[in-house]
Amino acid sequence: MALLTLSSPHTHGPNRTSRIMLTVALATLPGLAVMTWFFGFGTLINTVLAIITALASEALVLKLRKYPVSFFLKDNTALVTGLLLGLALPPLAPWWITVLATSFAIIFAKQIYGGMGNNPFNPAMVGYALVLISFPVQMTTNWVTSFQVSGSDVAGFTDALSIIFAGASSTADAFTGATPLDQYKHLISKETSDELLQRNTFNGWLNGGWEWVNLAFLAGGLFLMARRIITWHIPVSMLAALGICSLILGWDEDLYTPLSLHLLSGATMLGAFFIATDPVSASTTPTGKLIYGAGIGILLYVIRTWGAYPDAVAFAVLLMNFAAPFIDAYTQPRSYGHSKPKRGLKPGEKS
Amino acid sequence: MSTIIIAIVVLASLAALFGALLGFASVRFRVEGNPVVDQVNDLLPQTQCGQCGFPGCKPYAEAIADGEKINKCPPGGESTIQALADLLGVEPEPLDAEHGAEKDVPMVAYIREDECIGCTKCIQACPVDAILGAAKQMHTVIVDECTGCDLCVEPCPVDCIDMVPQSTDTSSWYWQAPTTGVELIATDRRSLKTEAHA
Amino acid sequence: MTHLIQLHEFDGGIHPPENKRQSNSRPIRKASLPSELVLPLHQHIGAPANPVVAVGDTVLKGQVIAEPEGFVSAPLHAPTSGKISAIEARQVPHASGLSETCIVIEPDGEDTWVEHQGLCDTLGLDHCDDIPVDKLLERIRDCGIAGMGGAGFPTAVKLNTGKHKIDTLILNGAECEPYITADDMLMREHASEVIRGAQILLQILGAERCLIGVEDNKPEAIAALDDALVQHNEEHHIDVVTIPTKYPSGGEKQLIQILTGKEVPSGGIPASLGIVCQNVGTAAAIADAVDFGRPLISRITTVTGDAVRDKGNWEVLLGTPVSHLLSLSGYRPAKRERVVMGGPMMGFALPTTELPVVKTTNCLLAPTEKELPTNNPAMACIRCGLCADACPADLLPQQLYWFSKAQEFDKAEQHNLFDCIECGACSYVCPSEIPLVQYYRFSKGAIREERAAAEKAEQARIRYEARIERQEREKAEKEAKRKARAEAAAKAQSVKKEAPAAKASPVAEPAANADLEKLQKQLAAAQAAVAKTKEKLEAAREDPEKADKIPAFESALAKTQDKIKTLAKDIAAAKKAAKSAPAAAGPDKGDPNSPERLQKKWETAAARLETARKRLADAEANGADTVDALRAGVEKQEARVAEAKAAYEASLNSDASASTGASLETAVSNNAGTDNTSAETVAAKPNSEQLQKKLLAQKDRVEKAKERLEMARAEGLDSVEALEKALNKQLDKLAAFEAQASTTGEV
Repeated sequence: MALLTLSSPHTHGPNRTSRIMLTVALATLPGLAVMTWFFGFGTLINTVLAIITALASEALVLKLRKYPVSFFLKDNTALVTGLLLGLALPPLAPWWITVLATSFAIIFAKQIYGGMGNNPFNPAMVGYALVLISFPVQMTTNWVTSFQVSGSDVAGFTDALSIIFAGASSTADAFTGATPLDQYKHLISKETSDELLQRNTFNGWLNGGWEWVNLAFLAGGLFLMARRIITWHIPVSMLAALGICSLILGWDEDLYTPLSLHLLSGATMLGAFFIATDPVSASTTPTGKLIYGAGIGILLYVIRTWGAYPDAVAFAVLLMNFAAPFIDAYTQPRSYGHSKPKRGLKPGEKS
Repeated sequence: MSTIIIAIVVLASLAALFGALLGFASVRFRVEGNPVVDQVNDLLPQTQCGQCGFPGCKPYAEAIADGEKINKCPPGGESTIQALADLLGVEPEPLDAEHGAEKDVPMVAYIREDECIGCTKCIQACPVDAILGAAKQMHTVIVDECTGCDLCVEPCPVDCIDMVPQSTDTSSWYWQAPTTGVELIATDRRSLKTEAHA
Repeated sequence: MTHLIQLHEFDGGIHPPENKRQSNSRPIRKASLPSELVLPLHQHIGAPANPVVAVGDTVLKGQVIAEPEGFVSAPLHAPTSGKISAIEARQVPHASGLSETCIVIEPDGEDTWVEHQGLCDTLGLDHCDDIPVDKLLERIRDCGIAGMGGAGFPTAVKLNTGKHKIDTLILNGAECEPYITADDMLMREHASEVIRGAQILLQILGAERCLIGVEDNKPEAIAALDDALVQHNEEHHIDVVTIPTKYPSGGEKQLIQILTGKEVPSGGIPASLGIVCQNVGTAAAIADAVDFGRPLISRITTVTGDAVRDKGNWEVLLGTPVSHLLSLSGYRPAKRERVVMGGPMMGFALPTTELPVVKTTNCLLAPTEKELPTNNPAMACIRCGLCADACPADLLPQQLYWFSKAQEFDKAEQHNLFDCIECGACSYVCPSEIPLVQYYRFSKGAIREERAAAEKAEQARIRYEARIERQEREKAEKEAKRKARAEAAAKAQSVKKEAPAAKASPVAEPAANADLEKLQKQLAAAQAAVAKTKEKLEAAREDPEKADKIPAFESALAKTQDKIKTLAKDIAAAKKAAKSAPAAAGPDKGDPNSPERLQKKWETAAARLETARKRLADAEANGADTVDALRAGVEKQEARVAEAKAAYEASLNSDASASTGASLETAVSNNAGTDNTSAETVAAKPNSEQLQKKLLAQKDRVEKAKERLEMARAEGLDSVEALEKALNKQLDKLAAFEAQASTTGEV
């Protein structure tokens, strides 16, 4: 009688990639809900569109690579990539931007490199960076002014549909406006901070819905941490680095964007908890994660302050993705029974 | 005029300086022997089989250091060629079939002892003295020392030497790398499942 | 517990479902006797034991059936009385499913014990507390005790800590693996033996304290141990320490870290920290062995899993087939059947149930697919880092996985692959269900294999170089010998020239006569050689193949003829010298009949014969019409080889004697040369002294010849025969000298 002979262990814990990815997706829901509340249905529509595109392009490539389609689709990684892109793109971005960014993310940034687990860069951010560089107008003008600011309603479902799919620009102009980060950066050279904050976008502080969006993502991130899906290292070091830079370099609110705006505006929290923590492309050692997160924080500040773009999560993350393998090589932890960690590559050893 | 003289003087003194430096370095950092030969020799499998056309691994190592091709060692196979290519900074080439094919499993010689006539021919052929025996006495192979070079098979007048694959026992056995999973380009999920079941 | 033990925590670890309730709710039962017991000789780490019984022997329970082989090994005892029915290769419980030699016992059902008693009684001591340590160790070794926690390292070897001073003994009762309750039940029911074992171990090690680490999910066992401590009055030396339940706290390194906060250095042993760690089961077995003389023939094994109805612990004889134990427990084979020996984390799945229980079998787990689902196909690693969080050795499992998968073994080693204890925590938490541990096992195996191959290559290189060196040395020695002979001859020649003037005494006469004889012999040999060479020349002329050899033969012939002329001259001179003033006459060396040359000739002839044979074989195979001619050629060549061989052997003998003669003569002539001034006084001396010298020299030569023969034999050279002949010749010579000496003495 032939019995099954498999290598130990013969038991397995409850962790599954698909479940982890689903939890990540669930943790974004508060953020998605808040965004929809403040900025209208555009975000929701775009997110659904991005998810559908992601799943479809993943299925297409798997089919072409003769891989089992449903087996891989069920790991939910494409779902998360689409979801994050949908959340990152401007709410009223035209449909083709979403489709282009997502399909590029899945096909080129993920599957071309060998599929899940093998991509050196965060796919969602690669897609985002592509459309940000290629279509700067669409990517900067389609942000929505929240109803708190405009005082009127945000784009309704049909409005959003027509703007996104039919490119109804006259309708769009009613809703769109610059993001707080954008506006502060461009106007601070002309006005003082106090004057600036009196504008609609800020409404005295940094009102505009963004703080709630960020707080919602923060809540989702804390949930992920509690579920031990992400560790504290990357978000904490990233936010800390951003905060420290802002306090040291940008303490003068009349010259630079203040800390509160840095932390609670733009994609800061989404980036810190959902994008920078993408395990595939991030650093993996505890020390490495701290360095990686801090690197993102610093780059984020530098690009936001002196770069051409008002927000820079995508570029900061992608730049640090380059460094992740190198960071890992030099931040190996000390193993049991060793007095010192073995770090880096031995001389004479091939890289 | 003076600039030309200055230039000449500077160049000459530079030449003298670097010449002295080079001379000093060649004395101070003198390398005894030819370490490349030893390094190459360390990478060769030391079966001493002579399939490369040289009388042993060391002679072949010397020949490689003198520019011989690196793909003539069947016992070492692709991995040795790769290692030699890395060491010498040359392109790895496929194994030269003229010298034989790479064997999948390590072999050892085995003498069918009741057929051995004690001619000592194999003893003389063995490059590592791994055969024990005397004239008119039965010979036997010291399995631990045998490199599986084949050289004793040819001289045996009664063909009583076999090359047998080295046996695996519980102390030398080890788990092979898993073969199921996404590494395999499976056409559909069912074949993945059946592999897992198999 | 009287001491406050500061507990430490190891990094990582997991909390899998314990699943211990199923099997620890009922007492240990004794398993019935099976129809046969299969005892592998290799149940421990180290060399397999060596059987000391034969098929058909009757053995008693507890009788030694296999002795340890070497230092790291353990003996084997018959678990019951019966007959040895076979000693053969059988499949053994090992992940490979390979076969190894096993002793098979057919029980007679009597279960008769061999005579045995406690060590104290054996030694006849009054106080059993002061048994010498070496006796204790010897008893532990003789009783075949090997680590019962899983690894099976021979306990006596582990207790032999050498230069390390041990201060702490740790008994491992953590039993962190899910499902297993064997140690739990042992501690509950045999707590007293465990404590007694600890006492013995403390005595052997000279340690100050003993910590028994037990996970807090075994309160009954802890209570039982505490009671036993009080009974043994050992509360002050031995502490039962309750440790938090976390897998793998029962790993030796982890338990040491929990209890002492120290880490066993990588590649080192706990003894270097002054710590020895033993399983509680081993301690109980030691108590049994020392106090009652009972060797390790049974153990407690948990049988559990949903595929067995009757889960629980059994006291089972070693060698009992797994199938027997399973059927006692009501085993119902399920779909996707698996039987795991050991726990679900580190155990291995058996290829069949027809395998015996061995010293390390702590559990048999027969799970259903629903209970412990087999892994789904592995997905890609998403580098989530959960494995690194779970790793108790603080490794980076995913890096190791990448390197193992890519077979970049040097990098895997650089990432401390060999510090991996294969606990399986990383695989357990891996969301992609990658069989990580299997990758590490593969890498470790491949690296070990690579290392062994490198070692073997190094050995081969050394042997090859030694062989080349030896061959060169032999060549050089031969050359040196030839030169020495030539020199001696030249010297003799010069002495000979001086000798007549020196008016040698008549004492030298017999020597001179002997010399003359020698010369005559050589002349005869040279003449024979001339004849042979002529023959060869003829043959060569006939054989077109050897046409190129003709000039060589001719020159050789000419040389030999010259030699004959000189020899004749020498003989004449010697005769004259013998008549007037007999003196030594050294023969000229370097003649073409020197054994070296003849050997070469023989070898070339043999080689030619070989090629001729091959050609013949080819021709026969191809059916060429040259077959007949070739066959004739081969026959001729064979004759030639025989001839060359004969010539060589003859020359060797004559050479041996000639060289002996030459040196003798040298000695004599030297004597004559130095003593010529006092020739008259020397003349008065008796011959006996000379003879004595010769005798001694000859003895030396015999010794040397013997030595050379020994060497040749040891190295299996084909010169053995020739050397034997030479030795015999030398011996003859020695005998002749001795006879001469005795007659001279009589004179």
